[in-house]
Formats: sequence, structure tokens, C-alpha cells
Amino acid sequence: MTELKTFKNITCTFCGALCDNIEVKVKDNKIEELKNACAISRKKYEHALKDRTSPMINGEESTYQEVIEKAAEILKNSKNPLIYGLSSTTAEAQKNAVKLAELSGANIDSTSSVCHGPGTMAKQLVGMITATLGEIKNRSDLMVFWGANPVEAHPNHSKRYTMLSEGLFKKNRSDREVIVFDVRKTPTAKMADQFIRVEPGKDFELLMALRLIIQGKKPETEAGKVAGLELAEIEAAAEKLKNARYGSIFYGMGLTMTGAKYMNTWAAMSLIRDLNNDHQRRFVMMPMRGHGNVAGSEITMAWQTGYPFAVNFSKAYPRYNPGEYTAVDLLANKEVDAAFIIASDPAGNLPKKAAAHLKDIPTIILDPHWNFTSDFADVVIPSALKGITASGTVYRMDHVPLHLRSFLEDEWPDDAAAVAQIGELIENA
Amino acid sequence: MLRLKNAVIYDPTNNKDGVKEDIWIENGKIAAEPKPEVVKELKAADDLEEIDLNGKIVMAGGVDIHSHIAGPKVNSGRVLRPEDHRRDNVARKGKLRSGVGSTVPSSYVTGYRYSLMGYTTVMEAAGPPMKAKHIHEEFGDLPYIDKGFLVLSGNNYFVLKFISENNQQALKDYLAWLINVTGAFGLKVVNPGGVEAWKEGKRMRGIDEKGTHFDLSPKEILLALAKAADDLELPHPIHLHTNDLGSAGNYKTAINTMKLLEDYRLHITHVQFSSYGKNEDSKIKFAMATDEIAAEINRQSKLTVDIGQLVFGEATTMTADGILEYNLHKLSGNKWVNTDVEMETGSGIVPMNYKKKNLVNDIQWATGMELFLKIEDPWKVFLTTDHPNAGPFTAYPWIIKLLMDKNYRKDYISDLNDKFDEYTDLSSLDREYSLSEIAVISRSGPAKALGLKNKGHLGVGADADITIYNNIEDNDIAEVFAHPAYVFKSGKMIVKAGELLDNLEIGKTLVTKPEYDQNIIELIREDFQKYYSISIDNYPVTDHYYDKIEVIPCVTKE
Amino acid sequence: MSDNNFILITGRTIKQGMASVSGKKSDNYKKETSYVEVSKNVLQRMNIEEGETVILESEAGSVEVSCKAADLEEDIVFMPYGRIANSLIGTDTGGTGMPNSKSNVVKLIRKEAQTN
Repeated sequence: MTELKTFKNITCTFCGALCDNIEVKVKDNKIEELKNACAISRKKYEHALKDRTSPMINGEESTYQEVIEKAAEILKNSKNPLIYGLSSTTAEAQKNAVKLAELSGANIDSTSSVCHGPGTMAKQLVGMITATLGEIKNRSDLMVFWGANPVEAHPNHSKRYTMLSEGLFKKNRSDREVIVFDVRKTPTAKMADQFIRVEPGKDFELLMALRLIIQGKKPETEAGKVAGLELAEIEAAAEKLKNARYGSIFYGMGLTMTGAKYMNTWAAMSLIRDLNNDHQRRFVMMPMRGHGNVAGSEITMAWQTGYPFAVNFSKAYPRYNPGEYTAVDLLANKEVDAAFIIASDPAGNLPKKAAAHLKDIPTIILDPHWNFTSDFADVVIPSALKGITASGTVYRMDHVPLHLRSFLEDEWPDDAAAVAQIGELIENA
Repeated sequence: MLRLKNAVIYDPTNNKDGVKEDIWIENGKIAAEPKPEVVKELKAADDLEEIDLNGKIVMAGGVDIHSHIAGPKVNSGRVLRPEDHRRDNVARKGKLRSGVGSTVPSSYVTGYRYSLMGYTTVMEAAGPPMKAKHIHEEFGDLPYIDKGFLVLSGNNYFVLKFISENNQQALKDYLAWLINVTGAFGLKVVNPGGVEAWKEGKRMRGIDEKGTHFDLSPKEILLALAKAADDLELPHPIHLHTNDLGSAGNYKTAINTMKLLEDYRLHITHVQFSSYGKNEDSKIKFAMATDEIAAEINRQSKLTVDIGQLVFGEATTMTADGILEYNLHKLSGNKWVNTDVEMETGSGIVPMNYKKKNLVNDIQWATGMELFLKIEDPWKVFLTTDHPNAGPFTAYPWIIKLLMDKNYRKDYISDLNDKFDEYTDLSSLDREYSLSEIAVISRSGPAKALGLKNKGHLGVGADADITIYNNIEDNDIAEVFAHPAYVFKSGKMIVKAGELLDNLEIGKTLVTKPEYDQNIIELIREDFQKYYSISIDNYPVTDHYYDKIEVIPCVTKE
Repeated sequence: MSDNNFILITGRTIKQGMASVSGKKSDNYKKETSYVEVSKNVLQRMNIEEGETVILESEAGSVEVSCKAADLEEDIVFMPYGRIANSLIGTDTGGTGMPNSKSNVVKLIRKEAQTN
């Protein structure tokens, strides 16, 4: 192929915003030109074909077939394996991973447990009022970002879906009021009409104070303050929330990773619920999901097992228990005796002491690129690149599914095929 | 070839009411009885398998016209309710995948439990177009049954826009395009106009009032959609969840809607939820209106309904009718999910527990039962629980028993609220369904209303989806329908002696492909690109998402 | 909170994001994930120069990173999310599966002060 070929409306799989308007020009199996990609996406495409993994067993070069067989052997001989990662792969691979977990009596958990998993736990308590991103673009007159910094984590989010987008009823930035609640003045906060600084770890208190004010009650204060804010400031913020016609709150790790964790999100969800009690007013919320298909990992796991993450198959049926079957806990408590990491880098992304256990047990990694985990993994399985050399399905942060088209050739099969093949070896053993 | 010997056939489509005959199956279809010399040859070649049914009851596989079994809303319900699954675990067995059950079962368990009950075709009742890929992905993990989905279209931006512009041709083309690109079977209409109003922070009542940004009344939307569905010759007419659903006094809206659309084909779903009277003097407000609703249905010739029978116990309500779920949340205080889907629809989920001593729940239960008994022609009324809204589909066998056995019904009523008889006349209704009538409401009728010519009957050429039940003379009716002796799907045995065999298979996806003018894509492109959040080029469900599909032709006129 | 104790906020930065997709083992990724942002006032008070190497210590571990002045409140310090920051994060999830990635207390120590 020597001709320059153009692919339009390609989906970038980096973050949960899944921009599906990338234009790529390709020649001789290389990307020649990129349009509409954000700074991170651009780097992702530029780097895609570099730094690729190859089949390895215990640090020695191997063949693809051998690493697949070795992986099956490890999982088969393990008494309590962990399958982890999943958020940067396709729904097809995720489905196969759940089947593999079932076949090998494994624990299966996604990076959701260290991301928006607590939000999902909160949803199980109180429910969740949400909308697709286009709905927010079209209608939302008040946008709140709480512990979320899309300017750096989801760089095109504001242009495509929120502050700067052109919607049906809301046409531009001036049609929308933007408030940022955070512990630091992030670049997102700098784009807002108002930045409200929350005392670290006090999100729950502030959310509950807002709820009380909206219910017409007066919150208790400490020296006149809640979460470092004067009551009057909180009342003014509550007034803004009340004056919205279609408000939206985007929440980030600032809620799920601090203090009360899922109870923070519970408080936010309860606040949103209260705000919908006025018949003229609608309010929705949305987790700013990080990895491209982390939403998909919860979706695929739920329809096969009934549960979104933290699932254990030691009894041949799925059991769910965050805090027990979640990756950090399983690793930190040294409960698992083998691990299969799919499209993730726990050695880089989990607390060091949790990731350390991976070095003590047989660890398999399936990833197209080298990372900190593949550095020491016993088995390295290379893979095609999702959305570049491999097709498949991904789910956006608002659960909108998109089909990935591949536009370059690869020498390696994709994640879905690798996981399926390992499963077949175990099933037919 | 397979021969089912000594069957007692209940096949209302072919006027067989307990006829003793053999059934012949070849290539997944019902075949004509071969000539004696052919039978001899087959036997000689060891190509004839025979199963002696010893006079067991044989019906076509069950057909569910309305159930929520796959897609974003159902799946969100699964995530929402770990407490729903924990005590209902299904372990892996051979090739059969594991899962969980209860009111929102996992995809595999949904397929298992329909199959174990002898149901072989199920229509997913409501899919948001832009999440259609999700539905098809789940269909790939939903074993045995044939299934399709109805695409939500009653609050769609382009639908409302074309209706407000009086552009019936564009509406028709758009709907046909929508069905094609989402891989849908037909059109679902939920609270037309009312969901858009919910998103706009407005309320609509009845079908006459204009409202929303589009300045349309539900009446205008209903007429245009019913006409388009007829003009497209969709096998199944618009499948309507009426306005004002769930509220006291809404039977008037339902009757007005029925009358409005009398000249069109129409299916009203879970009509139980649309058939409430109102008594201002009563503390509970709810009153019966089954006489009025049944009379209108009895009067009309084309209209069909399914009931959405309430089942006491746990349920998970889920619907595209966002405002309804908000109301249920306010009523129950239970957890509440709402998802507005841009340009298309809304949705909500609220868990419920219907209680036998709760008078409102009793009235809802009685409304369903009375409609079953007061609608004279069983071909107009179908068995559903609007799973999992009014209750889980696994309750069908007990509903069948209530319909077939008035003594059981009386016993059952004695457990309800003491004032039950003051509010209802169910106790005075003596009608009992016959086996043949049960066959109509649970397979033949729904198949006919869906326009599935190869389903719901056992005539030559029909799909060999067959359920064999034990005799009701010697057994409890509910047990008979809960645990068929055998179930065949596309000619293959999948259930034997009440157990699934170990041949996990995925059934067909049923779709229609109405024709449209390609220019419709250009007509909607600009608004689509601006106001959706994905590109129109990434909107269609591509072939990757279909495993086995069957295209049901769009021919309704002779 | 005592003078040199801060809540460690780990989080995404655009450069960390760009580096993370450009080779995890590159020097650039290391550079973009091995600094801590500290309020100007705190730096001044602790007599720390921008760019100076400091030690961050938590119950889970300690790291040496360089220091950047930032527009931050004085009760927090910020580190880009990554392997180095994760050395400071403990594994107690309180039954949620989620570690304290944005609420760990760290002690900030001048490297010079320690060696002196």
C-alpha cells in the first residue's frame, strides 16, 4: 500500500470520553497525518507502533503459541488466580476474560475498583441520575465539576460535550454557568465562572451541607464553617444549584479516592436526587471515567455475572464483594497465587506494596506495549492495538457503545483472541 | 428426521384443540408426515429418531411479546441490585455458563429460565437507538431463545421534528432507517411527548394538550407514528406504552388513545398499568376501570394488548418513561436510576416490592386478572408481566394457574387485603381459561401480533420450537407450565425432564428491514452531527454485532 | 496538622498523560511523575528552593522527588499519578477496594536538612 488513505471518525480509546472524530491518514502501514486528536491522543497514536512487546517467558524470547500455552498452564495450576485490568481493552476481550475467570475459578476485577468503583457502590445504595453526554451538551445550563479535572485528563471533553460545545438549546460557553469544586485550582477550575475550594477530605460534609440547605434546613457548622467554607458561601452555591433548569455534575477521583470514598459519591448522588424534587428542575451527574473502556468492563461483567467488578468464581458461580475480591485487597493480603493482567500496568498504577505481590507469584501480562508490570512478568503476551490494528467495542463514560475500526496491520492477534485461546486450552484440557 | 409420537396437540393457529397426532421435524422446521415408504427408508438408514410422548401436551414454544431482557436499562438494573442476585446463584455446569437470577438475572440465566419454562422467542421491549450495539452484544450472550428488540421512537428528536413539520414522508423514511441501522424488529412508543417534557422540566397530561419545544400533542405524535408503521408494513404495529401510565384515573387516556388509533394497527403493552380508575373520595384514590377498558378492546377489531400482570413480591421497575420512575421513587422512597439519552429517549429504574396486603397493589393485581377474564377474545390479550416491572417472567406458570382454576383464584384472594372485594369484582368472575386459550395468550396470539408467521404454531414449515408439558389432570397446573418435560428449539432438544441439556447455543436475532429513501441520511446529517455526541457514521450497528439473524419481511397487506 | 505534614493529592496532569502513552519506561515518563508540587508559602517557610530534591514520607514508604512551586493551599501537596507517587500510597482500602490515593498524609523533608 503506497497510496495515502484517509480514515474518518475514528475513535480514540485513551480516555472515557472516547472522541469518535479522529481523522487519520495512513500510508505504508504508518500514520502520516492526524486531525482532531488532543495532545495525549496525538502522542498515543504517534507512539502506537513503537515500544511493542514480544512473546516472553521468564525473560526469554518465546513464540506466541508458547506464551498462550504457558498462560493457560499457570491459570490452570493456580488455586486462586486474579484476572485484572480490562479497562483498556475491548468489550469482546472483557467478555472472554469473564469466561476465562469462570473456567479457572478466578477473581476478576477491573481498574474500576481503584477508579470509579466506589461510585458504582454508591449507586447500589441510592441509585444514580444521569444522562448521555450529548444530552448535557444540548440542555445543561449549569455545569459543576467536582474533584474532576477534564482539561488534563479528558482534554477534548469540554469542547465536545460541555463548556465549549454547541448544543441544541445551549449554544456556547456563555449559555452555561460553570462551577468547580476542588482542593486545588486545577486548569479546569481556571475555565470556570467560580472555583470553590473544598478542604481536603471534607467533600462529604460539604455535600451534606448543600443537601440540607436545599431541603430548607440549616447545617451545623464548626466556627461558622463547613469544609473550610463560610456558610454564606455554601448557601450561595446552593442557590445556584437551585436556579438551574438542567444542571449537571461531573465528578472525578476527588470524590472516590478521598475520605469516605463511596459515601462521598453517595452524598453527591443524594444531592442530585434532592435537586430533582422540584418539578421545573432537572439535574444529572456523570463519573469522569478515566480509561477508554472502563465503563465497558463494568457493563460486560454485569450482564454475564450480575455484578460490575470485584467478582470471585471460586464456587463456580459469581460472588461479589468489594474490599475482598478487589485487586488491591487480594494482592496486599497475598491471597492470590497467580495473576493475569490484561491491558493494564498495576506495577505502575497500584499502591507499591500491593503490586509487589505480583513479583512473588506467576504473573502473565497481555499488553501491546512494555510497561512496569511487563518488566518482571513471567509471561508476556503481545497484542494488537485497540482501535488502531484491532477492532472491537468500547463503552464511553455515559455507556454509549462505539465500534472501533482498525486501520493498520499488526503481526499479533488482539486481546479478545488471546484471552479466548487461553480459555479454550483450559476448557478443553 | 425426528418424530414426536403420541402428542396431544394444542395449536390454536391450526385449529387443533387436543388433537392426538405425531409431529415430524426436519432441518429445524415442522415437516409434513412422510409417506410410509419414506419412513421405512429413514428407519432403515437409522435416520429417524422417535420420542414417544405418551399423550403429553404439546404446544409451540412460548412467545413473549414484551419483556426487558437485554440492553443498557436492564444491565443498569443488574448493577443497581446486588441484593437481587445474592441468594439466587447458578453454577457453571458443563458448557453452561454460570450467572445469577432473581428479578434482573444475568444474560445466561435469563436464557436458561425462559427455556426451562418452554419459551423460545422473546421480544426485548425497549431499546434506545444510540445504545443498540449494547443490546446486540448482550443478545450474543443470551442463550437458546430467538429475540429481537423494539426501538424507542416516541420522543425522538427527528420523529418530533418531522411530525411538527408535517413531513410524513421524511418520518416514514427516518423510522425505516432507524430500524435498519439499529437492527431493531419494530417500533416502541413510550409516553409520546411526555419523556421529552420530563427532560424539559415539564409535565404533560392526557393526549390532547400540546407541549414541549416541538409544540406537539401526544395525539399528533401517535397518529403520525401509527400511520408510518402501517405504511411501512412493519410486521408488528407500534407497540405503545400509553401516556399517564401508572396514575389513578388514566383509563380515560388509554381509551382515548385506543379510539384515536382505531383505524390503525396497534398493540398496547402492559395495559394493566393504563387501566386505573379514580375515586376522589377514597383514601387510596385507585379504583377499577376494567369494564371500560375491556369493553373498548372487545369492541375494536385490530387492537391487541398484553397485560403486564402484577406479581406479588420483588420486582425491578424499568422503563423509558423517566417521569414514571421518578414518581415511583417518590412513592416508594426506593433507590432510583434515571438516564436521559440525547435526542432519543429517557429511562429510569426503581426496585419495588408488591405486597399482598397493600390495597393499591391488590387493585393493580386485580386489574390484570380482570382484564384477562373480561377481554372475550384471547387473540387480543397476551400473557406478560412486563418483566421485571410488574414481576419476573418466571411467574407465568402461576398466572396460568390463576387463569385456569377459579378455586385457586379464590384461595389466593383470601390472602389479600380484607377490603379486596369492596374494590374489585374478581371474586365474582367464574371464567376459566382452557388449555387452548392458554396456548393463544402465551404463544399463538403474541406470535401473530408480532407478525412472526413461523412462530407460535406447529403447522408444516413453522420453526420447530416446541414445548411438551405433562398432563394437567395428574399434576399441579403451575408445576406443569414451570417444568416442561421437553423443550425443542429449532428442532433440537434443549430441555429434558425439566433440566437444560449441555448444548449451549445462541438463538437468532429477529430483525426487519423496511425500505427507505437514502436521502434521509443527508436530511438528518447536519442536525445529527451538531446535536448528537457521536458521529452519524459511527451510529449504525455493523455486521460485527449479528451472529444469526432472521429478517422478517415487511408485508402486512395481502 | 503539624508543619511538615500534608495531604498528598495524586492526580493526572496533561504531561503525565502524554508521557504515559509514549513509553512507560522512558525518561520523560519518569520526569513527569517524579516531582511534587508545593505551595509557594510552604516552600518559603521551609526554606526550600524550587527544583530542590525533597523527601516525601508516608506510612507506606518514602520517595525522593524534585520540588515545584504551585498555586496550592498550604494543607496539600500534589504529585502526578504514577509509580513514584504509588510508593507512598498504603494498601488499606477500608473495605472498598480503593486505596487512599488522594488522602494519604505525607511528611515533607528537606533532603539537605536530613543529611546535615
